[in-house]
Amino acid sequence: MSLSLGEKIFYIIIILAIILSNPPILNIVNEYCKTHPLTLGFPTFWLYLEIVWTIVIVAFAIAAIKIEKWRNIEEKIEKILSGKEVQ
Amino acid sequence: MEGLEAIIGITILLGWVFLMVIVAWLSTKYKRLSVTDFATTGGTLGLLTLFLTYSATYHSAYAFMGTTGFIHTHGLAWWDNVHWCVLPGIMFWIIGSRVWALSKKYGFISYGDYLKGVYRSGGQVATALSIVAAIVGFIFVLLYTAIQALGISYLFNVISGGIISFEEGLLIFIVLMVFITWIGGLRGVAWTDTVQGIFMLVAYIAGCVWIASAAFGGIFNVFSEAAQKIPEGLYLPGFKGAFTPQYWTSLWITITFGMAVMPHIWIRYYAGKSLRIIKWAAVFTAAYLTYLYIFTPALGLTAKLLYPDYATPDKLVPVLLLKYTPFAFAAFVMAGALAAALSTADSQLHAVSTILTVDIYKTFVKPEADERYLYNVERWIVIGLGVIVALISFTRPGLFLTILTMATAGTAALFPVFVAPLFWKRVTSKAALASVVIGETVVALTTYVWKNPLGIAAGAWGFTVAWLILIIVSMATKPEKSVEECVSFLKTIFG
Repeated sequence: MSLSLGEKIFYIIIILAIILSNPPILNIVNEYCKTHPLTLGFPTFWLYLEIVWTIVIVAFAIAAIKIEKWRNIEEKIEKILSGKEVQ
Repeated sequence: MEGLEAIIGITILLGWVFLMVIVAWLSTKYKRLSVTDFATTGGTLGLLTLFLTYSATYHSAYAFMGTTGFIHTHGLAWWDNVHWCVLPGIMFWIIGSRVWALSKKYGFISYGDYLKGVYRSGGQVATALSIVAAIVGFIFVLLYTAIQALGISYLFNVISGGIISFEEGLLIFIVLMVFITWIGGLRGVAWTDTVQGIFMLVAYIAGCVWIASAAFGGIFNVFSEAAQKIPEGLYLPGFKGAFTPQYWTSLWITITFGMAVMPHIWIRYYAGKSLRIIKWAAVFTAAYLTYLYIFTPALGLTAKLLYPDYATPDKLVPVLLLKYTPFAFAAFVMAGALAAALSTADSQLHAVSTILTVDIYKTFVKPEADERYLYNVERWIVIGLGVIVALISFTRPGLFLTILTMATAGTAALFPVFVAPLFWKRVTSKAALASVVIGETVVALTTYVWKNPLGIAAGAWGFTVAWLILIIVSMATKPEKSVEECVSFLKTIFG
């Protein structure tokens, strides 16, 4: 599977989010949460995960707009299925 | 006052039932008398309908009632849930778009026929594989539907002020579920899901904010109070110490990947009108599933602060609504909970009826049956399954509950077999069959015999073993042409 630069960045963001929201990184965050249960009035633990995964959702939206390969896929499949492109 | 409340409650319930019937009926304007249209709408769903049917189907009664119970029991360890809110949207695009492309090329419309199609070079092994997967999906999803109906229908009794009994409520729920599926197939289900998806979002968020504000004067006060009185609920491992690092990770792996290949989710991969629509439906799904829960921590912690020792925390939402909000509003939000349950239950009924029609009936009983004939068969099966769901719900047999424990874990072990042939040419039908059989056996053993070994959830064991078996046996067996063709076709499109 050959990935475009945009796809690579998107997948790296997902992998980073998974790393950041799981042990052992999460254990470090959790230790901080024990001494600082609230941040800006919100539960620190919840806020941290919310921010990490909101970044992923925003990245997904940006990827949907910006990644040219994903746009080309739509045109490509229409051509293939309508028989205009020989596989 | 109680009489007035009952009238208000019944009016809201009738309004909701009436709206669902009308929407389902309206959807029939576009229907064609074919099993393909009944099962997948023939791939005609637009952005709003596709995104909301996927999201509303994904969020079941658990979203409304179970999450508060979860926080009450485990604190904010509940937000492990964020994994199975965002990742389903992303998988909808990465996996769903590929499945959609294959369905366009090969005409897949069901769960088992996808497996039978991609592994078709395996001959009888491929047929056996599709049947095993169809049976696993059928059992888990049908029981899930019945238990969901059973778990939520007491709300009819609460909303109507006791006038509608629990049994009558259960019957209304099941009849409505069958009617929507019977009259409209996936289109009817998707249209009603669209309305219910909007309804449940508004009702749930409004309910969370109102309760937290009425009980503590605002969500920040709830958090502040929780930090002082129940701080252990604000971090891991939660109130009961259950969320160890290994349980945290294995739980989200089980649920995220298990849900992705559940029949009622899988069938939606076929339903989009175009890849552009699937892409944006996927983005909106990730946002919807996540932000529906934006005020859930406040609601869950409110429940814990006010009722710390409540025996059945999954039932705390109606208790809080009735205590802290006007009855009309409480009834409105509880109807939203019924909407959340119904939007999942009718989707499950539809998926199971499609499995029985396409994967079992067409394969074994009448292979030459045409689209119109199968359409009629599936509608009869919907009614038959409705009766079975009612029987399961009313008799509440313990054995079914035991089997249900395995549901998500069981489908997690199916994930490799469904997803590997989208990316990997070397996967074979023999490996897939071995992976399903051994994976499901491991799930059963780690659910009932050696429960969650090393603190890792059963589904994660099944998921891991299923992947290992799939890879090892694939490498040891001869590559198969049909899988190679599928992967090559997808490569020409997706690169």
